[in-house]
Amino acid sequence: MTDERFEELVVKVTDEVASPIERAELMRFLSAHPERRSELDEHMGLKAITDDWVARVQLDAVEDRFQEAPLTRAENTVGTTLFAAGLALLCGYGTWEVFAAPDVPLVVRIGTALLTAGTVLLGVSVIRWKLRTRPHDRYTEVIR
Amino acid sequence: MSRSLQASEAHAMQRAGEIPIYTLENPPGFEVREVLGLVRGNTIRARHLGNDILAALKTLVGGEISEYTKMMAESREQALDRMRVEAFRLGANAVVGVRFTTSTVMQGAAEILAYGTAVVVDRP
Repeated sequence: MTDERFEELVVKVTDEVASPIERAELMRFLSAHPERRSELDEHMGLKAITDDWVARVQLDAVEDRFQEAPLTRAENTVGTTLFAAGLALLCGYGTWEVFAAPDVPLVVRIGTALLTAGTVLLGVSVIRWKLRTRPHDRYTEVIR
Repeated sequence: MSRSLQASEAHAMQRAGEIPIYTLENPPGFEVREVLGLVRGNTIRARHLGNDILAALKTLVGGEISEYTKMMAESREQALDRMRVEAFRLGANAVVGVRFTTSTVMQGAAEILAYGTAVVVDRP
């Protein structure tokens, strides 16, 4: 057997694409030349390492599929919306309570009004900024 | 910014993207003809409220917080691009000795600073 043929068979057997005839041919050769078995062992060892490595990064593919799934997107969108709505409702109710309570000093009422107006104004500004910049923010396409 | 300036800026960004960056001080096969000085690019990015909540909940069960992985990756790429643009404006055709550093300015945000030395090299 030539060295080229030996290498070809070793690679095929390592990659598990060798036919039964090719596998038998290699095994016969290794029986006759046991000193060359270490080359096959090296390839098999390397494959075990790379297989393990591939298994590790497969998590990324699973993560990507999960994030892209319609159910995941729906969960995230609905969850965020509900959370934001609940937060806004509670903050709004708290603010209204301050105004509605009869024993609240005037300075607290004015302070609350200014705080609310400022927060709303800044919120509008942030939303305008986001709507303006989002179409140009290509970094959102970066995953990891 | 006028439209012509915007177009010029976009052109600079595009050309800057072609500038190679190396962590090595002296990449093999390249001869540094001129050192133009320090270039850097930084950014601070955050995810939206929904992702922050998700990230906080994920800490209960463990594993990778992909929301923040993405945030760090976005910051890294933006910082690198800004560094490239600065190098391009200096007239460099490569950046060597590139390093990253990070700090915490605010909770839940990623600050990344990329810096290196802008150089003019003779390519083989």
